[in-house]
Amino acid sequence: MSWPPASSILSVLVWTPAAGALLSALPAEDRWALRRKLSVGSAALSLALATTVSLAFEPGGSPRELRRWVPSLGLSYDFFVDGLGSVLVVWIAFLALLALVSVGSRELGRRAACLILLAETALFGLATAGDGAQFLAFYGAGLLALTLLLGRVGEMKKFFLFQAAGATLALVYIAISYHLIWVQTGFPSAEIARFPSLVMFPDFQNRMFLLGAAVVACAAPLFPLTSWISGAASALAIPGRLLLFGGWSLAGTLFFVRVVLPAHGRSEGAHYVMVLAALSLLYAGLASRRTWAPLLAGFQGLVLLGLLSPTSEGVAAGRAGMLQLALALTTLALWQGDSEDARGTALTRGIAVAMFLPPCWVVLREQWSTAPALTAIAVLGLLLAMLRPERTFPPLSRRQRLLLLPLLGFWVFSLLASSRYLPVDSRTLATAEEE
Amino acid sequence: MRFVLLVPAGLPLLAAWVLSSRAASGWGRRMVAPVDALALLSIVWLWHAGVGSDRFSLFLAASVLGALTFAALTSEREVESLGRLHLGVSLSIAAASTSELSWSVAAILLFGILVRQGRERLLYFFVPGIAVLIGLALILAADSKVVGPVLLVAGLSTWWLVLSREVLRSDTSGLVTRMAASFSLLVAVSSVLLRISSARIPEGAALGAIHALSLGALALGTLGALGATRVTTFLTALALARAGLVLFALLGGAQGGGPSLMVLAASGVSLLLVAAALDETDAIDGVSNLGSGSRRLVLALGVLSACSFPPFPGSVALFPLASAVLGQSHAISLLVAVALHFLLAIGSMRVVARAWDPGGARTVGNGAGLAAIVLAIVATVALAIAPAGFVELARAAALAIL
Repeated sequence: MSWPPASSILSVLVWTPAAGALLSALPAEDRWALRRKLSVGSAALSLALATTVSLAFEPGGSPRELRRWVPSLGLSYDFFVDGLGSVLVVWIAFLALLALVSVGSRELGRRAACLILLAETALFGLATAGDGAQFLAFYGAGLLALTLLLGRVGEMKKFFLFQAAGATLALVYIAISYHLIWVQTGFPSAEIARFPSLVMFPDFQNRMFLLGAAVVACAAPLFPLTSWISGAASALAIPGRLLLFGGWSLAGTLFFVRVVLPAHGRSEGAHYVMVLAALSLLYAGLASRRTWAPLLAGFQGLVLLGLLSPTSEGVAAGRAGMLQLALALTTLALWQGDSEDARGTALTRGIAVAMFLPPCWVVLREQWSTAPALTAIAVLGLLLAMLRPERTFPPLSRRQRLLLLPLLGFWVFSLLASSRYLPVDSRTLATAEEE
Repeated sequence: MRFVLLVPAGLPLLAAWVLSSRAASGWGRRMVAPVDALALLSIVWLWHAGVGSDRFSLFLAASVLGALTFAALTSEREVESLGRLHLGVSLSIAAASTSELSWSVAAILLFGILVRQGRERLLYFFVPGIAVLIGLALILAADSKVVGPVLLVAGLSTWWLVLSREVLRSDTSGLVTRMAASFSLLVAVSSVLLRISSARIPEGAALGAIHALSLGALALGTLGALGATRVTTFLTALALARAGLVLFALLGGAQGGGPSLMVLAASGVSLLLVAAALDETDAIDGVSNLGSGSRRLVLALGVLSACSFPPFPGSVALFPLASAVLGQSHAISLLVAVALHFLLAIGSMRVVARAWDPGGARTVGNGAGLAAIVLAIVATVALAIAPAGFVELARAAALAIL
C-alpha cells in the first residue's frame, strides 16, 4: 500500500495521545473509571493507527508529511517513517497502552494518565521527526513529561540534570549543522536528511561526531553518567518505570541513529565511543549491586557497539538491539520495586536476558573482526552480567504475569521484522541485488 | 519620534490620568485595560496600514503595550504603581520610536526616575546615570567611536539592572506591575542598544563591552536563578538572564537583529507569566504549596520559556541566534552562553519541580487568573506552535533599522 504524498496519517498518529491526555484531564479526580476509559481508548486508537502504518510500510513508499513551519527560518513540520520507525511506532503505542493497564483504575491518577499519554506523543515525535528543531521540541516535551512523572523533587532534579545536558548538546549539534547548511547552500534548514551532505574538514567532522556521541552518553546513558537511574527507578510506579526504561531509553540512541550516524558514520572518534561502550558493559558485569544502572548502561553499550559496527548486518543488529533492550527492560520493569525481600521464580529475568541475546550475538560477531580486544571486554562484561546469580526476586501479580504474554508476542514480531532494521543504503543495495 | 505613534503613546497617558483622577472608584480601574487594549490595536492598524513605515518602533511599542495591557488586566489593586507604569510605557514608546539618541536617553532616564519609588541608595542610580550622560556627550560632541558608546551601553544596562532590582525586590505583591515596568524599561534600553549596534559600534572595544555585558548578565542571572531562595530574587535573576540573551544576540551583527527582537518579546511573555504565577508568594520553597493547577501550569510555561527550553515559547529563536553569532566567529562565546543557558534551565526546573511536587501542602488556593491563562495560551500558540507570523514580524522590524 502506498500513501498519498501529503498524507496526514502521521500527524494523526502523533497527536492522538496528546488529544487523549487533554480529554483525560477533564473528568474530576474521583471519576477514575471514565478517565481510564478515555486514556486507554486513545492509547488503543494510537496502537491501531501505528499498526496500520507499520503493516502498510514499504521501503520507498512510506508516508511522509512535510509542511513549512517557519519558512523564513527554514524549519519544517516534517514526519516520516522508515523501516526502524515503522517498528518503533508500534512498540511505543503498545508500551503506552501497557503502562496504562499495568495498574488498577484507582491507582492511576489524572496526572499520571495525562503524562503517560503526553510522553507517548513525544516518543512518536522522536521516532518520526524529520526536522532537527522538531526533534528537539519532542525531546524537550518527552523529557518534561518523564521528569514530572517522577514525582519526587530530588529525583526530578537529578534526572533533568543529566537529560537536559544531553538535550543541550543535541541543541548545539543541530544549531551548528543548521548554520553550516545556511552557509553552504545559502538557505537555512534544519532538515535532518540534509546533514549528511554537509562538507566538513575531517577534524571538524570528528568533533561533531564526538559531540553527537556525548548526547548519547548523557541521554542513553553510558557509564559513568548513570547516577540518576536507581533513584528514578525507585521513585517511579510501574507505569512510569515502563515508560522510562521501555520508551525513554530509546531517545538518546534514536538521536544517534537518525542524526549523527548518517552524517559522520565513519569518523575516527568512533573508536573512543566503542571503548566507552565496552566499559559500560564491563561495568554491568562488575557492579557490586544488581540495580538498574549497570543493566541499562551495559545494554546501551552493546547497542552502541552494534550501531558502530563496520558491517550493515552489525548495524541492523544494533538497531534491533534498541528495540530488544526496550523489550527486555520493560519485562524487568514489571516487577514491583517495593517488595525486594520477597522470593519468586527467576523466569522473568531469564526471559528478559533471552530477549536481548539475538542482537548480542550478531553485534559481537561483527565487531570481533575489527576490534577483538574491545569485543573481548564486552563479552566478559556481558557474561558476568548474565551469569551472576540473582537470589531475590519479587513475585509478579496475576495482572503482570498476563502482561508478559503480549510482550513475548511483540518480541517474536520484532524478530520476524529483521529486514526493517537494515540501514537505508544497504536495504537499497539488497533490493537492487534481488532485482 | 514618529508622529503616528502619538496615539499609542498618548493613550497610556490618558489611562494614567484616569487612574490618578478616579483611583478610588471602580469605574476608573475598569477603563484602564480597554484603553491600553485600544492603544495596542492602534499599533496593529498602523503596522498593517504601513503608516510611518518604522516597523522597528511599532514592534517594540506593541511589546510594551502588550505587557501594559496584561498588567492592567491582572493588577487591579495596584493603582499607584499601575499609574506610574502607564507613564513609563509612554516614555518607553517615545524612547523606542525616536532616532535621536538624546531623546531616547532622556526618556529612559526619566522613566527610571518616575518608576522608582524609594529615595535610598541614590548612589546606585547616580553612577550609571552620569555614565550615560557622559557617554552621550562624547558621542554627540566628539563623535566618539569607542569610549562614548561603551559608556552609554554600560551605563544604560546598569541603569536598567539597578532599577529592576529595586523595583522587583520592594514587595512580594503586585509582581506583574513591577515586572511590566522592568520589561518596558528593558525594551527602551534595547531599542537604543539595537540602534547603536547597527550603526555606531563597528568593531573593537565597544563590541567587547557588549560581549562582556551580555555574558556577565547571563552568568549573574543564571547564578541568581540557581541559588535564589526568595521569589523576587529569582524573578530579578530571570530578567537579568533574559536581558543578557537579548544583548548576546547583538553579537550576531545584522543577522542578530531579528533573533534579538524575538528573544526580547518572548522574554516579556515569559517574565510576565512567571510574575503572574508567583504573585504574593514569598519564598521559592512556598511554590510547592500552590494549590491551583492552572497557576502551576502558567508557572511551568513561564519558567521554561524563560530558559528557552524546547518546545516552549522562545526556543525557535535559538537557531537563527546561534547561526548569526557563529557567522560573526564568536564560537567560544556561544559555547559559554550555551553552558550558562543549560544552568539556567537547571535553575528554572528547580522551581517547576517544586511546583509539581505531589507532596506539597497546596494551601495557596487562588488561581492564576483568566488574563494569565489567556496570555499563556496565546503565547504558546503564537511563539511555539505556529511562530511563523511572529518570526516574520521580528525580521521585518529588525530590517527597519539597518
